[in-house]
Amino acid sequence: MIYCENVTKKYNSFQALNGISFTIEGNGCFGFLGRNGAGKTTAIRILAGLLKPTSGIVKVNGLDVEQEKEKLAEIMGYLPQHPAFYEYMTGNEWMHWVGQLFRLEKKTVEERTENLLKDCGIWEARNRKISGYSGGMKQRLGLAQALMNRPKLLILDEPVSALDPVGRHEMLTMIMKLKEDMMIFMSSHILEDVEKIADHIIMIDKGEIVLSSCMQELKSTYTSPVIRFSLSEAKQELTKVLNEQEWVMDIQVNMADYILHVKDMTIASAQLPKLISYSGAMLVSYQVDTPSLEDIFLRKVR
Amino acid sequence: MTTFISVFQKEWKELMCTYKIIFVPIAFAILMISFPLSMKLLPDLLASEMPKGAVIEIPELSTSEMMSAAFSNFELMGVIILVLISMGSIAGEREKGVAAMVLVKPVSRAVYLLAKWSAYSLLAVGSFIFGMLLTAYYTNLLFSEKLIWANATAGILLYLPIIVLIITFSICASSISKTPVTAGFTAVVLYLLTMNIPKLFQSPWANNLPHGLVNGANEFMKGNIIELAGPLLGTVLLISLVLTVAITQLKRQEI
Repeated sequence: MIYCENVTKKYNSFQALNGISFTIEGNGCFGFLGRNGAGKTTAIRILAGLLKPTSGIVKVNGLDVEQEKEKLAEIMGYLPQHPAFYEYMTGNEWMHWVGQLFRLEKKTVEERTENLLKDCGIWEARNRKISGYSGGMKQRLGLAQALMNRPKLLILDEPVSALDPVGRHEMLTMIMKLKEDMMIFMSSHILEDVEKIADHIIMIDKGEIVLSSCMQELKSTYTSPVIRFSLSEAKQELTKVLNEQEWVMDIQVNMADYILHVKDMTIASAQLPKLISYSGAMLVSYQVDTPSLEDIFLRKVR
Repeated sequence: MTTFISVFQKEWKELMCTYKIIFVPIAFAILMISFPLSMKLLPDLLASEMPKGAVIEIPELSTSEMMSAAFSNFELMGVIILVLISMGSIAGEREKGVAAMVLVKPVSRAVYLLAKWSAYSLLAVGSFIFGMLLTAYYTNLLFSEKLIWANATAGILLYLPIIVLIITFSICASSISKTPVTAGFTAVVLYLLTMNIPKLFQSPWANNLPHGLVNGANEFMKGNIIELAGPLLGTVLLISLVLTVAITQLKRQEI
């Protein structure tokens, strides 16, 4: 349904996207991950038809996003990172106006407005001016209005960034429900959330796709066990020694906190305590784990 | 057409919610009426400041000259008011991110721009007519010479394409510029260039441009009926051209 071929985007001398290609199909949630400035929002705005790619082909449901913007708008819902509205309108008025833009019948608009505002948890505030809404309420209204046309593709740019923990949970529950009926293309910094709801992951770094895989495949590929341990103080010598060990696949160090991706857990369990002891550092915590999406992400974008 | 009506209704509501629909006619009325009022009060004001026995004679202006002077008053401040109210219509929405929310819906960029242009033109034209009619009424009331309403009406009507042209410049600049301030500055510069550059040329073609229509409206106001098909057509063509450029630019633009 989304087809990107060798898409580039250049802002003067800055290369925001450097030839990204991917194809995704079917309903489900597709997590689009990357650190700040990786090119996520640029790619999302190209998909929504708001930016033009410098080169490459972008098609959504067979529609060219540059040439067939209006047809695309009929089947797409879009929630930007910071949704903006006509602040003098009430939430209810905005929803009705959006319904009119989709040329929906008045009765349909009324029904959908009520259902969507209730589902998004802002029904009580429907008659308040949007200027009085909090950031979280605007995000909820943004999602509600993006669903007015019952889209086939829902593009969400950091949908939970402005929400409190309860709001985040509610939004994720809603996305879980929605993904059964549509394709959701969602960018987020909160990897824990993406891990819960995404069926497919696309990782982008420095304008390039570094990983595109379905969640199951990702978990099976990155099954190597992880040892997380913390020392009483940072030991550079230990990092150097660990890097030389054959059983160590990858190592992430943050001050005195270590994450080791190991090939063989038996050897690692026997060797690691000795090496820590030789380094003279005191072990504060030690935990054996399976890699989380965050571990995989850090390995890929480091 | 349905989408155009929806966007136009939204624009009209916005004009009401932001009270532009009240402030603009009032500002225009104050601006235009100030000339006949000050001319009426001038002899009394001067008399209060002069030494006893001093005699000054100020010839009373004709009502048509008074109306013509109201046009001149409008040309200075009126343009700035029109530009100020409309310069953020597109640039401001793009800056705030609302344009992105609207243009991902099935709203063509041409409809988005034309609906705004129509709403602002309607407000500007309505406010101008209101201000001029109020000025005509008071001119008629305050001065002994009676106004010829047919001439005044013709003058007012002939000035309307100029009002629409100012809005067109402002909306066009707003669609091209990144910020409302840049848009406002660009619109004023465009207007000044359009009105003043033809004055440098003595050739007859220059009279077919908008500044010829302003002169023509003034002449009609004084009762001098002159041929105005050329400047009228020239102004309408210029409005169409500027609108086409604005729509083309907006279609090409990234939001």
